[in-house]
Amino acid sequence: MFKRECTVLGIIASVLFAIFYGVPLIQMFIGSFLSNAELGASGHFSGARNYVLAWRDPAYGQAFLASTAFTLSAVFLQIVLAFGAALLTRQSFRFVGILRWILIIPYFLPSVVVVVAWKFFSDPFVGILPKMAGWIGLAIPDLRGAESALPAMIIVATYEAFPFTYVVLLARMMQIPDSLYEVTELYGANPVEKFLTVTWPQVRLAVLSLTLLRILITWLKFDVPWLVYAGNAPSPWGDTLGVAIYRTAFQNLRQGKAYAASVSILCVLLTLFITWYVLVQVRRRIGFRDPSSPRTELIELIR
Amino acid sequence: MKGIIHSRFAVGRAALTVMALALAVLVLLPIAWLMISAIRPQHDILSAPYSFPETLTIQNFVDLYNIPGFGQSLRNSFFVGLATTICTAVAALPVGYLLSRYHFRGQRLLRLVALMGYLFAPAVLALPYFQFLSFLGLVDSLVGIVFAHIAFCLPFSIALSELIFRSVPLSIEEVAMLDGNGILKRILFIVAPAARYQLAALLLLVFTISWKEFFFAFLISSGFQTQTLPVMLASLYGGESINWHLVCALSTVLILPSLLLLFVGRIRQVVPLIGGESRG
Repeated sequence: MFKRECTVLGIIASVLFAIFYGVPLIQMFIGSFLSNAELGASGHFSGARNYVLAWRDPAYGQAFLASTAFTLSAVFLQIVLAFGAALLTRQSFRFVGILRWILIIPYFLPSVVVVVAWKFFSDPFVGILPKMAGWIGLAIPDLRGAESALPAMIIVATYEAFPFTYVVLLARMMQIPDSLYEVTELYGANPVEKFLTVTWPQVRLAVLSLTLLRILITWLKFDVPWLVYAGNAPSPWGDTLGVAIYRTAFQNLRQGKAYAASVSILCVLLTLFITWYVLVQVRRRIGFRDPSSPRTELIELIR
Repeated sequence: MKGIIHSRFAVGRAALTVMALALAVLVLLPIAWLMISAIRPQHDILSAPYSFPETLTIQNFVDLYNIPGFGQSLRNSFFVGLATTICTAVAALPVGYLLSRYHFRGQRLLRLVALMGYLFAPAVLALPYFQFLSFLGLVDSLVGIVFAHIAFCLPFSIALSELIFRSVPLSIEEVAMLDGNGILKRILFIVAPAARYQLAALLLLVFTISWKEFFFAFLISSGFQTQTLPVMLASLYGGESINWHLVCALSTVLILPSLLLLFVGRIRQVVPLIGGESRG
């Protein structure tokens, strides 16, 4: 009976994945080799022409740059901020529970609301941020302008996504046993040395994994770039890869080209994903894990 | 003493407090500013934005309610959210159960495929989904949006429900197995009640994700009849002159389910369970 149940569930799972991911993937792959100008029209085989078109299009070159700049800055900021916040709230002090709770709020807000909130917050006429910056003598550039397009996207994406990074890092830091810190105290280690010998060696693999995952997710982000401009980009930096594909497919109606671009981008993502997966597997095979004792030899080295 | 900051020192403690406060303010202020403005008169938002809010009003919400299309959008959002939640639960929970309870050939492959759902960024999936839906005649329909949202929620729902079912000991199921109860009965009457808080949090999370999703709703709907609230907010604020009082009120309405999820999560301590499902 269990065998039958298992088979039935396995078939359900396979059908689900086939419908939701398999069909679109196959369609994308086939579509990238068909020539058809109109959305919905049936095409004929055109070889690698779509790929050539997509790869030669300077808009995609620019979009690649924009996406990469956006992703690297946003992911870097997220990790740094989340790391700092996790270090801070790892301590136990009064109200730390509330603080941890507050820090994950942005994660549950709609992207639209986050964009609107930051636009409103930094609006030169009705927002409070320029006013507050004025108190300490700073001038905040107008986030609505074309030249501050990329910074605005980065701020919003960081605000929206840093809670996730924060939760993962905090969870990892809470798992570090206190005994490791006690050992370093025998050496009379100061906070910086404790960080270098215990905290960092314990969390660096989590940081690596998180960085890869966040890059995967941020690179093709559509909603933040699109909403920051409300759809009409005043600067080419607003057209990230996600937006560029959308424009090719739904505004220029070049679906074959959009498919070719999607397949190319998926290949890049797949490479990243496989790298990450292989890293994890190799790590398991050779028994390379987070160290189980503090790296006290580093203390000698620093001094 | 724990961690790297010596909190026994007064200086250290003061620095800690300042940093903690700064962090909390930085995170809360943009949202708080929006929500406070939502209950201020329209006149005050524009002419005296920095004064202490003296008069509070619900006029903004009344104005919002009177916009043509708001009632329809609200209903659409609720329908899409509920339908997505129910369908995702029906599709994901059995698969999560399968992964947590059985060992079978292809299990690791199934898990890997579920993980790979993260790869399929909405921007890449948009065109194939759009074509698939237009083939089925579901473009510009709520069912089409639900379909896309299910695809969006499946990977993390499967992963999380596997974790949740693992936390339920097998022994409580064994009696029911001996009585010859099938898998559906065991899931519905034994495993699910045992993990009800985590499952409720998962379902609420799915609802929230669907409620806040913008891209597919924007792509598939094309008019008042099928637009959801995030799409309506984007169109409200995309114009030449922005009616901030309406935008603030609508944003507040959109935030409410998320806050509810967070409060329930805080009470039941299940929020740490929630993983990385935000894409788009």
